[in-house]
Amino acid sequence: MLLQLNNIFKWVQQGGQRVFLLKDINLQVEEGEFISIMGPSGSGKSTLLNVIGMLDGFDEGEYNFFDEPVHQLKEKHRANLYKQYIGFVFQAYHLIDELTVYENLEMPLLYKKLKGSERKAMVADMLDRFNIVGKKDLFPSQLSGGQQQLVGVARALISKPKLILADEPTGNLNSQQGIEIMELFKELNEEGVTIIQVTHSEKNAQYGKRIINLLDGRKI
Amino acid sequence: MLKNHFKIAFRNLLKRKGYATINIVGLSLGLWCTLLIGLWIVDELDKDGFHTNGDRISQVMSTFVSEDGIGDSWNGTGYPVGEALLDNVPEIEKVVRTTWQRDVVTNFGEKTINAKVIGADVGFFELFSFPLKEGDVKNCLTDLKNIVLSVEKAQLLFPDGNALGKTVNLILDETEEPFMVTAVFESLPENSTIQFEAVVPLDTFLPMNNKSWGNTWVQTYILNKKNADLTELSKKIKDIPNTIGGDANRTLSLQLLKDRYLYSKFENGSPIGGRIDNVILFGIIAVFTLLIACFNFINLTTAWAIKRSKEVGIKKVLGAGKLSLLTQFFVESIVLVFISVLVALMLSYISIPFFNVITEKSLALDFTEPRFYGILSTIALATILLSGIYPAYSMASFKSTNALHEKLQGKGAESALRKGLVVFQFILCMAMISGTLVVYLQLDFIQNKNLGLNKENIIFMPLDGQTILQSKTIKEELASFSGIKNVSAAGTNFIDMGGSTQDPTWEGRPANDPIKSFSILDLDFELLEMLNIQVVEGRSFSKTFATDTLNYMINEAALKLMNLDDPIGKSMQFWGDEGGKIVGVVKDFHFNSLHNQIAPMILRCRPNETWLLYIKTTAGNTQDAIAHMQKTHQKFSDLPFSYHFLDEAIENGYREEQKIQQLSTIFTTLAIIISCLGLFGLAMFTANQRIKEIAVRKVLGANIAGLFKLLSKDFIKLVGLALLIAVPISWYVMQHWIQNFAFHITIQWWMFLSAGVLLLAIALVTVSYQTLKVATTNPSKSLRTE
Repeated sequence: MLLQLNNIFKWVQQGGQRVFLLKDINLQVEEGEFISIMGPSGSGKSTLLNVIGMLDGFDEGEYNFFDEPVHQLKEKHRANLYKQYIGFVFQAYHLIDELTVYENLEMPLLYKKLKGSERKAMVADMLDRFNIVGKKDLFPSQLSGGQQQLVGVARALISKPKLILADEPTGNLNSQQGIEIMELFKELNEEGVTIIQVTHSEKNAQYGKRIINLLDGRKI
Repeated sequence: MLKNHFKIAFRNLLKRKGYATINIVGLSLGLWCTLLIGLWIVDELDKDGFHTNGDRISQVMSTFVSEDGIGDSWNGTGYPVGEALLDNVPEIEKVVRTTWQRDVVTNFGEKTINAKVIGADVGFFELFSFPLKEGDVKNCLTDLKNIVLSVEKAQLLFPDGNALGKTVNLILDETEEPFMVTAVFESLPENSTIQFEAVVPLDTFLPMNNKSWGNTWVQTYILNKKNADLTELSKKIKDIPNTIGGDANRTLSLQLLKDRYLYSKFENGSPIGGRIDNVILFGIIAVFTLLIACFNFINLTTAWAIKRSKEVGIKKVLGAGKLSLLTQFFVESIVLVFISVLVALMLSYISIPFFNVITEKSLALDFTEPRFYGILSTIALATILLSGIYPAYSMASFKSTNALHEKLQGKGAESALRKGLVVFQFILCMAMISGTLVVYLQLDFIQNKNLGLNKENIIFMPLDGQTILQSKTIKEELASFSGIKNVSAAGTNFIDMGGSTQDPTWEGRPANDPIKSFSILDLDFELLEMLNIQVVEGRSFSKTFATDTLNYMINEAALKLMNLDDPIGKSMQFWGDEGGKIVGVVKDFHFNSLHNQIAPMILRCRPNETWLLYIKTTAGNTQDAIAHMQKTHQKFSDLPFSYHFLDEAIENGYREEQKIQQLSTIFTTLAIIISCLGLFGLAMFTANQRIKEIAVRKVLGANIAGLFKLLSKDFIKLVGLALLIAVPISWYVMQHWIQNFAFHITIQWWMFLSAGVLLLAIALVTVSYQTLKVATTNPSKSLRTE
């Protein structure tokens, strides 16, 4: 089992009242799964994704990742965990504007403290695989949205994660670019990478093997 | 990884050129100013620091004690003090006495030069670290007819370089005496307060003085034994003039030679300050300016950090630890500071000649000297720490999920900090502006104060050893020139009168009258008339009374001190003169600087004892008159001709203040510029932040004036608050400073008001550029992006 959420609650205090963002979420994810999370705006999709990605905490419940109890881990330990196993893909790509494509891809490897030669080989591999060798010295602003998201996915993959979390990865792309990214996800999943995506699009959701629907922070 | 940090740092600077420019300009100005002041301070602190035994060499200070209390302290002692110290205080290892330097005409064959000569005891070159180029330290002053010359003067007299053993003639006390050159000393270090060009044995000057305890014509230096405590020693020697010399009016104390320069002001026999006050003042200014620059940096960096929150968020998600982010932003600060240091060095290199002119120093950017790197790296390090730590910490602490969505805008604590720093900057600016204004007004007051004498078109010209013999003829020859109205003379430069005497007694003085001091001015007929000094009682000196060369006049202060009802006709004696009477009272005039009250003064008419000619020219003929003076001088003397304008000489008495005025004007301007740069940057940022809000307001019908008000209001409030806080502080400080002058302006509310209005206006102009730019932008442009 990859990860397990047991009775997760998350809330914020607003005007003396608890507003629940997540309410009693239970979820088990096996390795190799492809899950789509759906639901209307404000239903807690992104929050759930952030909790899974350990970017956000929660107020109640248990979260086990590869049998490690995430809710009991210290910040540093948690960071090591997601650094090693999780890759993120964002709707707005979130590439660093000041760095070239090459340098953006290299960034996660720097934080894993890999050697220069190793980094070079891995970045070269990735550029090759995504067919963007010719663009390696360009800055994000010189790329189209689809190309930027391609780099975003490449960056998420470069540290060979077990799990990819994608928050509306096609939200800023046109349909053709969207299809390309989804096909890419499908391919990756077939290679054994677990993927959890948040999406509004029924069509994209169908790429997933399992669909989770959220409403007002609750699984339905 | 570090490479990556630098890469991002540089690309960021290039991308945000406005931000980078403001930051670099602000920091470099601050660093520039701090570096110059730093160099100046180190130079001031280093006076007399080169003596090998510097920690053990002290100067003996005399303090005059009377029934009125403890009087002035100064560095002159009687001749016997040295010997008495050596005989009675075992902790004292060595004693060396010197005289003050005097300009002496020195001849060798046909060659005649002027040399600044001091008399000194035998051990002089052993005690002090003035290395000899030739000759022997121990024996060079043993014979009364020995002389030690400086390298420069020896070179002038003996161009072939062979000075030792030659005999030169010195004109001392109007007679020519031969001295044999026994040694030549190397050029004196510039930071030596003891300056001279030739040394002869102390006793050469003994015939012109005496061995009394009361005649303080020598300076006495001691070398204490290694483990002696100076404070103890100082107490021990305190009463030696009384116990050994029978002089109850004087006590002694010791001051380290190294401290003499900085702590020259004494009160009640102990040093209370002096130049150290200026060192502290400018030290504070330097720190202030650097703080202002660093605050700018912090403000701008944290403000713009919001623009970079995405980057921080991504990096955190990708696994960057806090330390790695801290390092990154710290590296960026270092890059900026480093660039600024380079710019500051360039600015300093260009400006240091001008700075030297103002400070009368010869400072230099000496890249070979470790001390220079010490100053530079201290300043740079302080800047990096002050400006780098907080922004780095603040940015590294962004929460990743918030940072990714740029949700950091309304961080309350941060904007409070920014406001606080702006207020602090403007408090400092306000304090500096009002301080500069007060200094300026005080100096203006001094320059325009009625001194009680007419200083216009007056030139004074010292007579030298040759011209003094012909003074009568010279005076006549000068007076006959058409551009010269009048010629007279005085015994001393009366705007710089040194000593005073307690000797005078007068008819009607009670037997138990306490000791009273007077300044004595010798003058020629007609000097009072020439200077327009008014006679309030009796009459002025006049050639029609043959006995006037024995008579006296006094000033009003002296009249008050002497406590006489009817002074005219009362007889008076001092310094062995008999038969003189008081013939008149002059209105008080300022002969000393306005730092001091007008001292009681006795004027004597002694045409034969005057060596300083006072010449009044007719307006517009000054240059011709000077040419004529020079011609006349050359006719009677082959020594260099020199002259001074009285008004300039008076102004020179306020040189320190003028220096302070010029420097503080410069540094205040810099501080304001730096602060305004910061304000400008913040305004730019705020305008950027609110660009959408303003567009929406415009669409809804807001006009430019309204928007301008909206955007400027907050800044103006901050500056206003700063002014309110600054006024009492600067009022207090300036009130204190102005007490240095016995005659001074009163500090008034409008001075602060005008400083405040000025600062407010500058701030408003600074902010308005950005505000107007945003307020006049077409709203469709700003709204289109979403």
